[in-house]
Amino acid sequence: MFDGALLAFIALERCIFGVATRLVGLFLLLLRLKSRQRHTPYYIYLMLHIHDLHASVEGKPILRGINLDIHAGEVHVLMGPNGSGKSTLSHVLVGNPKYEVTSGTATFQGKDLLALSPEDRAREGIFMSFQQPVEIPGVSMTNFLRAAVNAQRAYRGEEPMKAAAFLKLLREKRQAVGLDAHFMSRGVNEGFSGGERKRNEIFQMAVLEPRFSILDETDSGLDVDALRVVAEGFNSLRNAETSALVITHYQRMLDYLRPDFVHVLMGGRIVRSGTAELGYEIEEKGFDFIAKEEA
Amino acid sequence: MTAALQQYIDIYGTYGIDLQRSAPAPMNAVRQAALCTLQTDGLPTRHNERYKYTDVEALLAPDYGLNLLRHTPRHTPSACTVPGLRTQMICVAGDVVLPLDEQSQQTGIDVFSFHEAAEQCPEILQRYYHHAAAKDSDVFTALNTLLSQDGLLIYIKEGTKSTLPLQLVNHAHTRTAAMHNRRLIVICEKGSSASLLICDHCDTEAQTLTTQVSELYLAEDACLNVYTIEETNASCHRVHNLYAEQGAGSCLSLCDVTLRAGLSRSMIDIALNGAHAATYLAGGIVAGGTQHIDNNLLVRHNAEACTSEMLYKSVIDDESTSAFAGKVYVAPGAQQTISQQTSANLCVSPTARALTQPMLEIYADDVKCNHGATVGKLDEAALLYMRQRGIGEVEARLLLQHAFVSQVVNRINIPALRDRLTTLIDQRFRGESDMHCAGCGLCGKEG
Repeated sequence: MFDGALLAFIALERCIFGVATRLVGLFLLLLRLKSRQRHTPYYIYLMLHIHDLHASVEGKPILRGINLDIHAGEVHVLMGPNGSGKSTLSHVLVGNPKYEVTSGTATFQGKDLLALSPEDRAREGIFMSFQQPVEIPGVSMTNFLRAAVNAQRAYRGEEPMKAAAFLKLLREKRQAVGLDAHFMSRGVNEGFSGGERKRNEIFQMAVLEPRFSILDETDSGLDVDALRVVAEGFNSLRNAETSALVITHYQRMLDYLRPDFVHVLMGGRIVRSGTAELGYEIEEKGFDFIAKEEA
Repeated sequence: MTAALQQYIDIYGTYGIDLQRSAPAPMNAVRQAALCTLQTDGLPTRHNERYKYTDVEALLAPDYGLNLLRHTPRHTPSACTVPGLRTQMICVAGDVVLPLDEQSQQTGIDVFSFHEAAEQCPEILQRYYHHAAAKDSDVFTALNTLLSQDGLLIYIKEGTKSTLPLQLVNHAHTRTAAMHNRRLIVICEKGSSASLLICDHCDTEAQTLTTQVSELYLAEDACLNVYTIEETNASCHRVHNLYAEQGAGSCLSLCDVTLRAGLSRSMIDIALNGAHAATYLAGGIVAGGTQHIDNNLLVRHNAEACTSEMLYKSVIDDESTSAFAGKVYVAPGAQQTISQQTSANLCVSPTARALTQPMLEIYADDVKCNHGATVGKLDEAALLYMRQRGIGEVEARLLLQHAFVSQVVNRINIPALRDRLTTLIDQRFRGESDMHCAGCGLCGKEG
């Protein structure tokens, strides 16, 4: 009798426990699905597709037929001698009006990138860390980033961020890249050293959480420690849904970033593509060997 | 004699007796000299160095009426508040000084209309009225002296440290073209300190011309902060001549912000007569349409070790013009003078014009005098940087323009006023309606 009651009790308990576990599991699954709703489902997809892109500056042709595909989750490094068009490509991608696209296409997440204004490209998720970040005296870092964050939220149909949440976000990201609090009340890049400006770029990237980042020689002018902080900051923002195009001259950056692909740009065209090994080969032999092989 | 000026001389010829009857004696005592100046000198042309950028004849040509019978508007301004700032309010409607609120009077500070001053402290009015201004033979000072009938006298007694700012609300309210001749005297006795906020408003579409002559007297170690905000409209023209005499160790800080106006001319003459006196002049101008803003400054370093600073920044749009002429005169023997002149102009449209002329005249050899002037467009690189972060082009332009003048506003050391001006400038750039005052009774609008 006693054994029978105990068995019945155990069976009932297991039944209740089983149902409860399944309910919790279902609930968690729903939560995960809900949180994923905003994002494109997690699979490898083509983020940026550049086809036969030609561009010129003040009538002078710089890019002469760029073809490049960047998938989600990939980091591509762009190398090349000075004047080969690396910065031009990054400025064309963000829509700098000084650069004129003469032919070719660029598609970002299925949208015609070249038809979008610079601000809409940013709102679609493109971020560029400038080679020489400009000083904007009188516009405080806080006000600048608030305007940027809220403009991007408005584009996505979201409410402006609450002041407290925004300040918390700034604090977290600022600490992550090691930027002091007093920089937030200063004008954008006003009185910032070269290293602080670059750190500030990565800080802004952390705040804005872009899909696709362009780092235009973010490593130049940085000391060893600053480079590590900047590279680690960048790496911490990488995930399977973001990708990046990194312009660099240095092997140390390759060490930190461990890129998926390395491309060599010469004379406005991508003349060689490969893995990180290509980067190390260039570091060893210079660009000359590629130029000779191309010739 | 041009017809533009002759009409006012004729008015004085016809109504001079009535005008004198309604004004206190010290005002009448100097009218004849002013009339002589006008008749002798006539109107200055653009060949006159101080009127190089403003067409005086066109400004005086309309037939402006004068409030000879001293009509007081039916409704009086109840408040023109700055949120978070308590002030002692003084109101002037047109050029009529409205009855002062006895309860808000501060100890150590006497505020009188000239009529009251003539009864209660005639010697002060006699001594200071048209004292600093008399050293200049400017046409608008003379015209104002000839035609003004009342004014405001603020007397800050020795050692008074005022914590409650004084706020002078000038309001133009008229249905027909009118000329207002306002007069202000501020006397800061030894060791006193005070702040004065002057706001100019206008709720009429009729043409108005306001001539304002202010005389500031700062005794030894006195400190006076004056903030002027001009927020009228395109049909309101103002000529403000300000004269200041400073004693040893005194400090005058003037911040002049022009947001909306027709033609606005400020002529400032400062005499640093005592050693270690300092004067800080700042101007923030936001102009659009066909606005014409002219700032003409002169600082005379007559004593040793005085400091002066001019910082004028303008953002000009459409077909507006902003002119700046600043002169620092260092008298013989005024050694260890330090002076800095900065005029920076941002032309937002290709048809806006900025004229800038910093000048130095130095007769001492141990001085440090700097001057700089810039005229430029919006920084395209900064614009791209902001747009790349997702900020729309219009918003980015606004932020950059606002940032340009914010340096001037940041000089204001009353936080509530600084915040208010920041909001007003923002609204001005956004082209929002003239929400210049929170619940001002005169204009009948809510803030």
